Amino acid sequence: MTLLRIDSATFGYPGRPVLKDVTLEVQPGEVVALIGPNGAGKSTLLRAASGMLRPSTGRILVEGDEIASLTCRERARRIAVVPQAAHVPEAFEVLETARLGRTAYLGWLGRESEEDEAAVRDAMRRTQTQGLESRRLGELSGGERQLVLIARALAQKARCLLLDEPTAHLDLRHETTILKLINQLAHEDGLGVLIALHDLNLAARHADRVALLARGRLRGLGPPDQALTEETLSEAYDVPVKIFRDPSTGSPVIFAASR
Amino acid sequence: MNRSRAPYTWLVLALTCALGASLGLGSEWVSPVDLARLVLQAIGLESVDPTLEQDRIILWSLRMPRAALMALVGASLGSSGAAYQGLLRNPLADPYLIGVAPGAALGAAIAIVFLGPTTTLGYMTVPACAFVGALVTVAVVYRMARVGNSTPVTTLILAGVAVGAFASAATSFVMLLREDQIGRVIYFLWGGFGLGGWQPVLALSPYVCAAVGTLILFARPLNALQFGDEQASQLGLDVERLKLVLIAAATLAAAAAVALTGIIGFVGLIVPHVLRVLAGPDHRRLIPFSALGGATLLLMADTLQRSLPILSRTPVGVVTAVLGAPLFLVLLRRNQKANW
Repeated sequence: MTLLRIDSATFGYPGRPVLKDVTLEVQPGEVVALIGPNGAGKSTLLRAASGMLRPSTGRILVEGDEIASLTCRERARRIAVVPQAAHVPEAFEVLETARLGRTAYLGWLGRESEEDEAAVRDAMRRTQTQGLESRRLGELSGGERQLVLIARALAQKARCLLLDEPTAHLDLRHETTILKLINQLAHEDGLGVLIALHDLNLAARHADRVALLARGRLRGLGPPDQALTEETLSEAYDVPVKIFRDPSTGSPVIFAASR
Repeated sequence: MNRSRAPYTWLVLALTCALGASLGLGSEWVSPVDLARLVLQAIGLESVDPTLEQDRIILWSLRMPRAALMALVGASLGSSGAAYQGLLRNPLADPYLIGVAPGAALGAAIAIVFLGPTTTLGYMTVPACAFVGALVTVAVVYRMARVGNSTPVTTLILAGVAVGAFASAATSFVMLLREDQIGRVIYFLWGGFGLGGWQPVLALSPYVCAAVGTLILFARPLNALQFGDEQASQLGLDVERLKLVLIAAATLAAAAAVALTGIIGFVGLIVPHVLRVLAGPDHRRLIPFSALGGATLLLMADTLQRSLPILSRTPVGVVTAVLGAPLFLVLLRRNQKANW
């Protein structure tokens, strides 16, 4: 079943339309990268897909149900979000933060069951954050903090994962760790992943499909080597773009050509 | 988080000492041994000793209800302060920030000036009007702060300040209508009407129990709210409903306390702060700790106020500030870690 279906949806903040008539699907087992220039509407689309914004026209379906019809708990069991440049309370400890991923499963006394604890342990193992358990969020590096937020999202055991620029400002090692993990989650665990990425080359290398947004519209959608062409990218980013092939992997390597 | 039980032990110990001091000290000294014997006699484990009759009356009709009232008020202010600080994600928040204090003042001023409470019944309308004034003001603030379907935290604080200023101006206006009553209004705001006996304790305890219980039950969602409204919602919380429940519970406790003992500043600001430094940001601990800490601080301040003759006319809120502020400053300067 389609995990997430954005169906000819239009969004805007009051007086300012941001996205027009966007249609996009995320299937189980695939990584869809959302790319496009700054201000193209990537974050807006992710906020809408997580139910934080309502489309003015069109629909958003999660596992076949309209997102607005789901309760907050039900929504959080189906969609987990790793926000961009997230605000975190610095005094909070890592283990407690990961445990908050179970919020949608707890009874009204708020006690974690054995199943909840197992989900948290599993999420921390996948993100290699077990060693950080009792550290405060404020003491972590940017990369470690991002892994903790991913652990919290994984603890939600949702089948659809949304990430907003999870590798922004991270070093190469954390960037690779996170993108490898996301690929495993999709290809081995069957999650559907929608990930906003700033870096076109990362998108080209790690996504099964890319969705190119520019000026509020979807300008291209498909496997990276088909959707990423010099013409569409040049037009979307408003700079001349050159694409080469990586001789070892065959994936596209994208440059802004200096005139 | 740091799951150590030690803070519980220390807080309960401190509360017990403060309670003992509150029962023993005052214009008449009752020794700890006599206190223990009187308690044993009351529960029938020791036969009644007629030589302790005077102490028995002092204990059961004066000091015990006074101590119980102070403990309840301290617990409401401490826990609702912790809840407001967490909810508004603002270290400056206290139980009065979004309208309880100015609302109660307006309610009390209206009752005193227009109803002229000379009878016992009229006298009792003042706390009732203060209580209603506080609740109505917070409801107005909440309504004003609503933007579309949500109540952003910043808007809530700003609306609280604006509506509070309006209520304070209205209070001044009402008070100046009857200059001969100004003293009574101020006296009430500084310390209530000094109602004695068990009646105020009985009136207050259901509110305090309901409010503290609710705040403890919602402590874990309150933790999630520390990551901001959007993340809390994405984790599966109905954020707006959560805010409403927390505001209602914290406001009810603070308003009931204010109606009976007047505006006691500082307890609700400082107690959660100090405990956040000592015990961390987890509200499942912070809220019960703040209830215990608030009760302790207010008992201590009240005992001091009753025992020292120079303080006989000083409102207990002044004493809490004198006790609490230096302790707070010491902790603030020693602790450089993030507490939020």
